[in-house]
Amino acid sequence: MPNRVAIASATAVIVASVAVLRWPGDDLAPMTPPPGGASAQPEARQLDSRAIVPIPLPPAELDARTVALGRRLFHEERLSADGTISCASCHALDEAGADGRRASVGVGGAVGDRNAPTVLNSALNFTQFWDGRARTLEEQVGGPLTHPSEMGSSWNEILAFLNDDGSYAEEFHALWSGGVTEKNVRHAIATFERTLLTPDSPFDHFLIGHVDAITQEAREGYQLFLDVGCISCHQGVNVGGNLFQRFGIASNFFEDRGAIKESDLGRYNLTQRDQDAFKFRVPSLRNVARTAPYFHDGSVPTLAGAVRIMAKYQLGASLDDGEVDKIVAFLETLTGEQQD
Amino acid sequence: MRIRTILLLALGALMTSLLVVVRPPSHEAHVRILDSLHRLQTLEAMREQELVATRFGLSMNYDRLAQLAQRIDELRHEVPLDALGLSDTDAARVRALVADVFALADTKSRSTEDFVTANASLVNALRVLPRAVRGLADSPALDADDKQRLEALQGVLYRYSLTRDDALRADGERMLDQLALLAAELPDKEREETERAAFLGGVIVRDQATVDAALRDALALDVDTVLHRATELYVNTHSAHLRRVQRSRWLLLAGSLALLGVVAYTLIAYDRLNASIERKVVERTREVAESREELRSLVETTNAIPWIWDLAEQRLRYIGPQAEEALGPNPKQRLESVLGDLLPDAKQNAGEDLELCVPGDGEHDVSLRVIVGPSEEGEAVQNGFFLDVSEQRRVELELQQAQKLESIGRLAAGIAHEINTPTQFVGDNTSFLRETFEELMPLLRKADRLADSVRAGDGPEALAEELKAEAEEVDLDYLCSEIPRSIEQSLGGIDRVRKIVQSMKEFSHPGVEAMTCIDLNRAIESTITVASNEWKYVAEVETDYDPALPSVPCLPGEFNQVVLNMIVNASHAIADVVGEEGPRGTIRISTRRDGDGVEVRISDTGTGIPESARAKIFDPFFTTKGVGRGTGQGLAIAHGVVVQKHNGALDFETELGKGTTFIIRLPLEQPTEELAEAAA
Repeated sequence: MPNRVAIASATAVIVASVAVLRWPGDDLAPMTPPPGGASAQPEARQLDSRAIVPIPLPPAELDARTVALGRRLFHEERLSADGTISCASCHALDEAGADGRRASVGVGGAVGDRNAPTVLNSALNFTQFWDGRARTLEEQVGGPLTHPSEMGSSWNEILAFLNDDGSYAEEFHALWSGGVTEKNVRHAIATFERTLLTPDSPFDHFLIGHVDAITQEAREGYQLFLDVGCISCHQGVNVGGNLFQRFGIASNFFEDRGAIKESDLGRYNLTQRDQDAFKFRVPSLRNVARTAPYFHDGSVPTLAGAVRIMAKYQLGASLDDGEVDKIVAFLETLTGEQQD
Repeated sequence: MRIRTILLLALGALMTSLLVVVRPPSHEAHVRILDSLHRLQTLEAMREQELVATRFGLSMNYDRLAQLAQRIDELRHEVPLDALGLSDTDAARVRALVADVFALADTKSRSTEDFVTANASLVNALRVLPRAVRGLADSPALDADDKQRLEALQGVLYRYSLTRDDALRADGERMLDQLALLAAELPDKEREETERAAFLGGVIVRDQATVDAALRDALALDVDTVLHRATELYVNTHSAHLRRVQRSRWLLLAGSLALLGVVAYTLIAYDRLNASIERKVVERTREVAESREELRSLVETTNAIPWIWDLAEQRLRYIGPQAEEALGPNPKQRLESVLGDLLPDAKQNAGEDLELCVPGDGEHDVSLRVIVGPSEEGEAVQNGFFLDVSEQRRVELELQQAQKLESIGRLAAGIAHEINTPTQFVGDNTSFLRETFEELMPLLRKADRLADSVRAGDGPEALAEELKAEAEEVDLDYLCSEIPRSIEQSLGGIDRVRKIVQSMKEFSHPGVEAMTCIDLNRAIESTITVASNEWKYVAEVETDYDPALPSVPCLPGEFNQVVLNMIVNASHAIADVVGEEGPRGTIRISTRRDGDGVEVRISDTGTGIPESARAKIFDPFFTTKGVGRGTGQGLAIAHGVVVQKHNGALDFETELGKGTTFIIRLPLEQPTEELAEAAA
């Protein structure tokens, strides 16, 4: 006598089969995407084609709870190996998303070899890090966390810590069924960073027609910015941050500076292409007045100095002090309003 | 059943494997895949458009290109490659092709980046060069030729930028070399300006080529075709997969139906089997009930009364309804009181017959034979049977009586014969006496008259002569000798009759039912006498009595009956040997004291008992005698009398052809209880 188990499993198989037979997609015709499906995507949005455009407000669709969790993680020192360093240690929000140091100090007092770029408006950069090795903010999050001379931790330790900490674990589980995962940690921090935009800068007001939003000197500085050719690279919504450029086009900056390090090779370290040597992501000039020292090596403490070096090595132009002051005056108008 | 099970399992396995095979592609995934491929196509088209726009200065910043590259990169993760829903090989092919597409897109992004990098400096140089040239135009340090050459250089570079004419480029490079030479001769300010112009020109010459190459690279990468191929491949494999899935579905449907059929059939068979089992169970139950009923009625209608005794509660748990018949109403109580006392004994002596005497409802007691069933140690109940042996006992008694009567009947002829002979000659003698007396009467009268005439004296001589003559006539001497003998003979005959009657009286002992101490020798002697007719024609009886034999307590009538049976059997056995006219055999009867009892041996010289009969001779109704000579009761009764009633023993020694000796042993002391019971 076939027992009940056999009958039950047979029934289960039948039910499953019927379920399969009821599966949608009976039509054999290859599916075509719905009309207009692609054109409805945000990338089709017409971007402003003017050289510089104002910073938008942070996207409204960002989940407030995820942002809050990201903010908490961003300031969480216990994510680092010795519990002393958080993201905010080097990207202090009250120091324009940077640390004012030439090179950042990591766990155990380790000093890095590059200047910390600001986290403000980093969402508007087309890649992250000086050499652009991270394509997204999510990708970027893992870098400092696990870098031995930055936060020096590992994902295993980070996830274990977050799982052990009741309030974190609770919040993660409330937000995602997967709970504490590497992906969710990355997502939370990146989501928070997407809120760190600085709209409402005087220059943005100028751009939308408020001529008096910036001083005459700044306006002249802007003209110089255009005439000297700075605008060639520093353009777009972030006034830079959307292309790679070689440092030292007109003359060799590194030869003049001396002591070439590996980090000076920039993008070459990533692509190993000869033409990528000394190429860096053109930094955004948003809030540039607040993010001294300058350049990837933090070698230039003043904005005026930075302007001069840029003119000389990138554009082959020598500017007099007045011109530099005007350009600096213009650059100061790029400082926007922090949202937090 | 097994075949069906195997079939079911095989079908199940087939369907399960089909289920695994038939992983229908997710509709949503399909749409997403096509959508993302389509979006990639759109984005790539937009990127090409933007590249061209940027190249020709229609786009003022690189945000759009950067954003497109970012979107294309993100799209890579949005293609649900894990949820293709195709077979593994197909999925691998599609994945490889999609990977190719994105690799191509990556290369395109890289070329775009290179283009942007070069384009930024090129555009800058093209825009700033006229300003530098204009700055030198007013300088007194340069002569008109130089200024003209500067303008010519600017024109050549601009034309080159538009036409990419290699000849122009060669001109431009030549002119830049000349400019470098010129710059060295100029004062500081002019030299700086000239060098800047030369730098910008160099940027144009160099970066124009780079921009062109990068743009060519970017546009030459035909993502669209590869994308189209990937889409086509995906759609085709998807369709093929769908067709396969559809086919599998039909198979699955067929399998499902088959499985349903098997399951339905199984269920029906199961049902049917169930029903038939139920029917069988009902039937069996009825049969069991019937057979139980039969058994019960069988048990309860036999004479054996079944019972079950509860050992713990010391009461009858069950008693057959026959008990009421045998004992009258409410037999349980009466039985429980006696059975409780009896059972421990009965269990110990299992196998032995036990008898109970229970007061019945009438005036008679009921004799019950108790048969105790086998029981295991620790059992809570003891069962067994009662056999109402009252009737048997009564019949036995009657049978015994009948046997006695039979023996008496049998003896009657002999006894009659015994009595007849003396009676006959007593009669003859008496007739003889009457005749002689009649003859003597006239003689006596004449003698009387003679006496008278003598006394009167008138002629007594004549009378005397007459008397004498008559006396001689009747032969008085003879009479005088015969008559006393005749009388003597008659008295002897009477005495014999008296003796026989006396023996009979002693044999039957009427009225003696209790154990009585008797002289066994005398009892045996009278029995021999009574039975003389049985043996006297075939055998001599030799007796060897122990004169010192003490009196033995026994039931005389029954003991005599036993001895009689022995003598009769011995006679019959001898008769079988001697026939009509052989030499007479011998019956030897001896008594002697034997320890605490006495032993009576009755031997014959008869046939002996054949081997086959020896074990059965004490069984009731067993006989080897012909019809009319025996009922098969004699020895059985003898056994009963000796063993049961007298606590004695009855044995025999026999040898075929030589004869048989029966040995009766009776104890000298009967237990008083036994005496009393026997008396009762």
